[in-house]
Amino acid sequence: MIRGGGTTIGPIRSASPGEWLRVQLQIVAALARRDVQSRFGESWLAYAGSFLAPIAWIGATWLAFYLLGRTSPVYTDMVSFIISGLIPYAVFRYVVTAIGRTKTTARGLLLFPTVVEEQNMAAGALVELANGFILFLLVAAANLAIFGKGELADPLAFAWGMLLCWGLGGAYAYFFAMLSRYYGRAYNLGQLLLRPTFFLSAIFFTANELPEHILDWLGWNPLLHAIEIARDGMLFNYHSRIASDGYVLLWIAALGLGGAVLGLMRRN
Amino acid sequence: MWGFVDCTRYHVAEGRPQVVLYKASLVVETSEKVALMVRPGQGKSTIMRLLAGIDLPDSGTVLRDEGGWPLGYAGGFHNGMSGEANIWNLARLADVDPIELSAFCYEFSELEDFYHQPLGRYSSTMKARLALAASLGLPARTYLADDKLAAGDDRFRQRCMDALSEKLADCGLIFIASNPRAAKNVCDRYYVVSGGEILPCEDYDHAAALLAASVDEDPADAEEADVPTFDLA
Repeated sequence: MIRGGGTTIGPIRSASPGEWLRVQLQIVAALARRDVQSRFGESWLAYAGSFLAPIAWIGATWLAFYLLGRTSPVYTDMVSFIISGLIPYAVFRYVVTAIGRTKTTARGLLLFPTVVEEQNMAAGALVELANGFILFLLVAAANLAIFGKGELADPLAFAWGMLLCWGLGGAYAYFFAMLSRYYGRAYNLGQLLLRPTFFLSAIFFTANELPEHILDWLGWNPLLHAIEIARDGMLFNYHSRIASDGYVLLWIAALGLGGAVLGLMRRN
Repeated sequence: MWGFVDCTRYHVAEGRPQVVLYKASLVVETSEKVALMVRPGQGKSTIMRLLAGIDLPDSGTVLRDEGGWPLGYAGGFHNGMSGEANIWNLARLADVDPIELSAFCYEFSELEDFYHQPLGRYSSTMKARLALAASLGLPARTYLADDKLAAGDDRFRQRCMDALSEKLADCGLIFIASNPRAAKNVCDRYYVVSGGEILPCEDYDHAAALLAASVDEDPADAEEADVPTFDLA
């Protein structure tokens, strides 16, 4: 059911753009800090525990590869190959979940006049971006310590790929969060649509090993491009033949703009 | 300026519309002290949410001004964080000096060592004291109060009322109350929300009588006589 045909005339902000930006960043930082403390408590041990799930996920994938006799399609070790796809995907997926979670976790804060839903989304997304990089450092360090292996060919290119995955997840979640203001179940639909991406986004395979006629189809998936950019940046012996950051940025812009338009339409 | 212009807001419960506001209008200047009396269960929190901007009316317009802080609201606190950490966080959200606000809250709330402990260990009264201290320490231009202006024992309630009176010298109050006594001697104007309408009252006694009369009404009669019907298709 579509709710609310009425409007709210809010206060007119008179702060300068610089001052406005400073306050926004301060509020987002405070919300991010609250998010970390509310999810993980005040103890660093609890925070470290939050990485156990993705690490177990990586371990299970390594075990599945081992049992199925699957080897890395790139000249690198197994753990490096797995994390080159799984960690960028985890960043994408976790940011979608984090933004969806703000609807309930940060609800109590919206009664404060300075706090809006978008700031909560930004805070949740930033926490997940930081978590993604921390997770990469933890797993890469463990791979180096245990197996004596590890590589990071171009740190900036890898970080760019991670940022694209994060941006894509953020824009996707933002669009569906705005859509859910009209249709309550839209966010659940958005989550459902993501299910196949786990198998279609070059996590367990590389785009380079796909036959041309399959790549013609999977190449439309922007997440595949973003993951390939991260992999390209991480592995010394891999150069993706498809990765296009322009295509991913186009999707981010379209979803972000779509979400912003939906939000403005709802407000006005 | 705060208020409603031709505002309608309803919920659908068990297939039937429950009207909170029906083409209701009310204008409140930023520094006015106004009581909106609402029977329990008749949409007090919905009106609060509309004024806070987190709920939209089904039709009409809600007027909101800058600096409308909820009074004594503990819903923004997190139980896992200490009172102090919650206040520091609130200070950053409100863009005020955290040290100054925290010092004020520590002194005003009289929580002593509990101030540094997680809120999960607080009683509901202690949380209410912290929330009231936080509200009174913030630079509000208008307070939005949901049914309570003070908390705790008589002495602390008096302390809250004294501090609030001081604050109200130069800021406003919109007090949405189900208990008329709480609004006595605090507000300048009184309204009763009944059947979706916002009815102006001459004074406190008139408002209290009107609210009591609306409670005495048979809900079934009221539904047939007063509740407007909607096309929910």
